[in-house]
Amino acid sequence: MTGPGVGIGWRPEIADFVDGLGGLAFTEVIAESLHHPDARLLALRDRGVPVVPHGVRLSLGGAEAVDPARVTHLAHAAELVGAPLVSEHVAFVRAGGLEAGHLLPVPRSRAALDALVRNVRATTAELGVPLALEPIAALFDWPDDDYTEGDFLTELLDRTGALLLLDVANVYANARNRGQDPVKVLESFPLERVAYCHVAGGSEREGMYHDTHTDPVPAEVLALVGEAERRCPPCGRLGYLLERDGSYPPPSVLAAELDAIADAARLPRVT
Amino acid sequence: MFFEDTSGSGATWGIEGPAFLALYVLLGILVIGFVLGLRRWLAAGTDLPGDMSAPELAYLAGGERRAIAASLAALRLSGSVASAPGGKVIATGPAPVGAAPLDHAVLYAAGAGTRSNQLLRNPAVAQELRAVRAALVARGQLLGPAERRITRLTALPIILLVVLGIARLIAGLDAGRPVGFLVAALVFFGLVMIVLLSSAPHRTRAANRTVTMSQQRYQGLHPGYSPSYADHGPHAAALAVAVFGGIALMGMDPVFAAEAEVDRLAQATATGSAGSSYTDSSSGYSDSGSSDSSSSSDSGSSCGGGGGCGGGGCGG
Amino acid sequence: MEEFADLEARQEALVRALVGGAELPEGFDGATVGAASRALLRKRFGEVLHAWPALIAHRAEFLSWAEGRPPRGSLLDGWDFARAYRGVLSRDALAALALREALWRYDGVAARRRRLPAVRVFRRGVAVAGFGRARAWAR
Repeated sequence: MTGPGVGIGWRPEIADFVDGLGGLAFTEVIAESLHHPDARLLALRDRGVPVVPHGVRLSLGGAEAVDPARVTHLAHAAELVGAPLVSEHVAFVRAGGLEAGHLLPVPRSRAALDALVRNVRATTAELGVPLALEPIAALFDWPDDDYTEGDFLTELLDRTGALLLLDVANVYANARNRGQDPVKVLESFPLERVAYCHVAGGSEREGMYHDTHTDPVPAEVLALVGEAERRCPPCGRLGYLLERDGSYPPPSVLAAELDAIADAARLPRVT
Repeated sequence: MFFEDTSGSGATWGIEGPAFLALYVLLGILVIGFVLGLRRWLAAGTDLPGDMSAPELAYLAGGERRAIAASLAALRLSGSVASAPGGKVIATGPAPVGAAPLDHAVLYAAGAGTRSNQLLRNPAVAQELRAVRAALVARGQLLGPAERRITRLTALPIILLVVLGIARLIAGLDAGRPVGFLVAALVFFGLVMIVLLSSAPHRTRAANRTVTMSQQRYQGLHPGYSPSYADHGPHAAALAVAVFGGIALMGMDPVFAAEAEVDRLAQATATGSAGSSYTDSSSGYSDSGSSDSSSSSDSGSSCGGGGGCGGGGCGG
Repeated sequence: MEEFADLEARQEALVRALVGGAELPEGFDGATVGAASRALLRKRFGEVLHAWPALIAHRAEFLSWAEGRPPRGSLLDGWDFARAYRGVLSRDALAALALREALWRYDGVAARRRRLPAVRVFRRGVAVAGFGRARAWAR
């Protein structure tokens, strides 16, 4: 891995746009969608663009053990796209046979940490590449958290050797909704372990900031990108990846958003 | 004597019944084939007509009702119209920059509140619709009245064919010959003649390709691709409704579409009827039994299909 | 996993409250969990549209139907909803439902492809399927 660059999450709806980005530093694909890989994504891989499979349904934070079939698929996905690493979330998505359909926060307790460590170890044992873990944006917290988010993450990464997928927009969303200073939260994270960063848009609704991935990236998040770039190690990272999951604007608007991220991080533009 | 008549020179016009019938049917097939080929050639139209405006594409894909729905989509996105109870639209602001003449006429017709299905009765709207139609004729997408008349007249050789058959029939009857097969052939050719003389297509063959290619070109504007219509702007909104119909309008403003009953307008097909045909869009689901392959965040995204009028399947 | 039994029970109780309409476990903030629950419903409708684009006109009906019903995946969610609201569905949605039911046999648990051609009649239309293809016509 060389110095950081700018990328965008690959989605079938914007495949043509992504394909047209000459300077694309890397991309990410929902790992579960690689059951039926899209030829246009494989073409990017063949062009030499690093592709990171991004799992969303492994439920690493669940009390129950990870499903070996899902771990196997994640490993296959990494092989298929020749991934430098894969990523998943510090979250659970099902419990007691019920699917939540979304990433839910785990309690920041000793037991939850132990469950996470067990699940992450079971996963990394099968993977041929490193695993990066992404702290999620949560609209609510558990009533009895024993750790701060930074301490929880640091211990999790220390015990598992996993890398950090830092979602700048999630940091912003959580800090804003909890009434914290996003830069202080950022500084409490183990930034020396950052593999790459997510950037995404959101909007306010019912008095809370929602990390929607369907709205423009707010100026506050772009500013936090600049703060993150100042604090992350200069190399050994892929860079910043824009996540857009719907309500797709025209290519010119997406391109402008990528340029804004590059400018905020003082990196070369990719469009 | 009877025997000599049938076996000798007594055959009508000097040619035996079965031989004439065979030649006649062969000639008929050739003539009809020639006429159909001619009609096909006349209806070819212009492929790759260049950039089409939203009203033109809408008219081509779904007739005048779709054209009005496309205009309303553009006007809605620019805040120029709102819906009112009773299936009405109401003007709320100026037309967007770059609005088509039809958009202006529709906005004017909406005025203080007009039922959306009455908009096309407005004289200004009707006049702009005629202008759109004329443009489509000029661009080789629709057939004009003169072209349709010529198309019908190509059936003239079939009239001659039928006249020949009638003459033979009369001669055969005079001579007391069996004429059953000849009558059957005549009835068939006569029916073909009537159909071809009385009908001509409204659309050129290129029109269906134009619609299909536009659907591909603007596929990113199909709601299945989750476009942000607000970011794409009024013109793109009109194009989306033009080529994809009501489903696009419901994707951008379901409340407006339902209250103003514009979804019904947008659903109109090119024949002008309210009918519609659909094709399956579910073939992507090979394994729907497990909750996983079909489920959520996998972002597998099966786009397209579902509604509207796929690829020229709606006649016209 | 004996050592995580307590965690498992707590996670299950939270999921049941979020998507199953169960009571919120003690200590949680009802306002923020409620906001999360509603955001989840909106996201779920967006996913249902991937499998059932024709349901786009029925957002409000879907949101009220889905509240308190655990998600079963976008295909089955859309299917169950469309069946429950058959009486009020738009023509496009009815056609989409008929098309799918002409191609697939769905018993409410799992869907299987039909082996034999099938015809489905719906209000104002008909769908015909055979040999893996289907077509519907509606007035």
